[in-house]
Amino acid sequence: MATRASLSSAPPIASSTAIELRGISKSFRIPHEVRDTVREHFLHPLRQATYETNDVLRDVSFTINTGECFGIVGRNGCGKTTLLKTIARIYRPDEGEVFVNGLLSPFIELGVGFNPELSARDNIMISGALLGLSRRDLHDRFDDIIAFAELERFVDQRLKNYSSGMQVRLAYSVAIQVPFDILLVDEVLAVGDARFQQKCAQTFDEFRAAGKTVVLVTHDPHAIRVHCERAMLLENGAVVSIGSAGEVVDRYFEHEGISEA
Amino acid sequence: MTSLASDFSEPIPESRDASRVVRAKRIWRLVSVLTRMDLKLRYGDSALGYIWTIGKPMALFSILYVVFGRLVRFGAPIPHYTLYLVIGVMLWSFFADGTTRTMGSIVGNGTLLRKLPFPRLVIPLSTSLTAFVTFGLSLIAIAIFVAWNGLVPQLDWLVLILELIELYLFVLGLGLILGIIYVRLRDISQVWELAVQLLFFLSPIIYPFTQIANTRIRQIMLINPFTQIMQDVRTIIISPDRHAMWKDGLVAPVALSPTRLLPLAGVAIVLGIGLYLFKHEEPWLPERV
Repeated sequence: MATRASLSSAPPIASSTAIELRGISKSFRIPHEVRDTVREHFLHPLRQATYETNDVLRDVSFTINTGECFGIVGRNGCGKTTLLKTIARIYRPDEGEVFVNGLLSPFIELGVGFNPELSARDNIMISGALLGLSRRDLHDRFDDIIAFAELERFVDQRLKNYSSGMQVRLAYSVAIQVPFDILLVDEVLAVGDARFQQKCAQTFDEFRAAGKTVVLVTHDPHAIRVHCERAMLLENGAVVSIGSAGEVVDRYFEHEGISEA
Repeated sequence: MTSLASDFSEPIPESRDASRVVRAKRIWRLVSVLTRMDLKLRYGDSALGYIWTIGKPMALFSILYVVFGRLVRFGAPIPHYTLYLVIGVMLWSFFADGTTRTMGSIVGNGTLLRKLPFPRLVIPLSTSLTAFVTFGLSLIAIAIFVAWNGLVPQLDWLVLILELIELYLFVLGLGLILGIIYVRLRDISQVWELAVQLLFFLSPIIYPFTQIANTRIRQIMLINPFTQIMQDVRTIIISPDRHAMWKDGLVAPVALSPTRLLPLAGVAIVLGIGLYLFKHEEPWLPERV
């Protein structure tokens, strides 16, 4: 359980810190036998539901400075997305504390939760509102959102008719039009076409120039080298290495036993 | 500066300004956007759109009227039986629709919960409001029957607004409880479907309340807020001489008598339990849905 000690209004972290995690652990219960129907409860009333605990994050502590681009690398299933969700307050950690200094815009699991049955226009209304845009802000930024995603022609089409790349473009476009100090980016580079990847990469640099903090999760070590000052390598939910982007990427390759192409 | 560990329900953009007014405004804005979109989703596709909202309960009403109004003649002792029946059917339809949809709303919006942080309560709130707005449209049908039966609206019909708000809060409370159970136990939807059917026959929707000869049982039935509200609405609209009708046992007491307080307390308890359960489960919803 998270401690309540951090309730005090005095900043527990320095203003030069954007995000600080202290001893974050998170585990999920995975039932051996799914027992979510009444019938199963009746059939085996005495049998204890057995489950295994999957420790996704183990005692993770690190600090991200304001204005830096921080990369997170690691294999599939090493806890990167869970980590972002914990930072974004979507998951509550079992242990430890998360401090976030500023407004946060999350772009996790390739999107902001679009509804495929609604048009792009309506989806922007929903996601924009959920991300904290007022009606007027949304109105003012609507054209910019569409323009960045380059979807002017498809504004009133339902999202189910969009390609997955188009959906991701739109989602990213919404996420960056929200007022934020910290942007969490989960694998946006892996889906868009080359042109969009380049556009995203440009935004990272723009945000850095504007003093905003970017947390970048990606499988593209090259991108980490190019955009990030510092990076972190996660393995089985634990921090293996944290340091300059170049060092961490080298370590990642070494760890995986592969050489950089 | 905010600590994430301490308060999960706080939406992120408000982390700089935690004032209650700002939060309430934000929640209202989210609920209104989501409700509008929900309505669009529900009717955007169908050619007849909103007509279906009135059409379905009206079809049910027509069948019941032919069977119980004409053939079996249940309604013989009741003045304005058509109106009596249409009020019952419309209120029950809202009850069934509202609780069922709110029950499924948390699981149904799992993707959203897993991707964005926001005050989670807006999901069941907007879903139940969508059902309420839909129900508001079916009031047109009731209005037509009022006119057809030659009844003239009175000033005290304003009490109806309170009755409908009470019904909404009851539906919301039940929806929250069911929705939280549904996250863990999917079978609850089957159980609830049955319960709603049972309620249709356990409350005097088609038959006159007086058909229940035992007054004790009638009193017990009126503890159910749904039955009480339905009877209140009928009493206010139909009865020209309320007192006489109540004495006849045709309708229920509307005034704030001790017996009327019981169902009111019931609504408060159900809503309280619903909100408490939701608050309690809220931080874990994204990983459980």
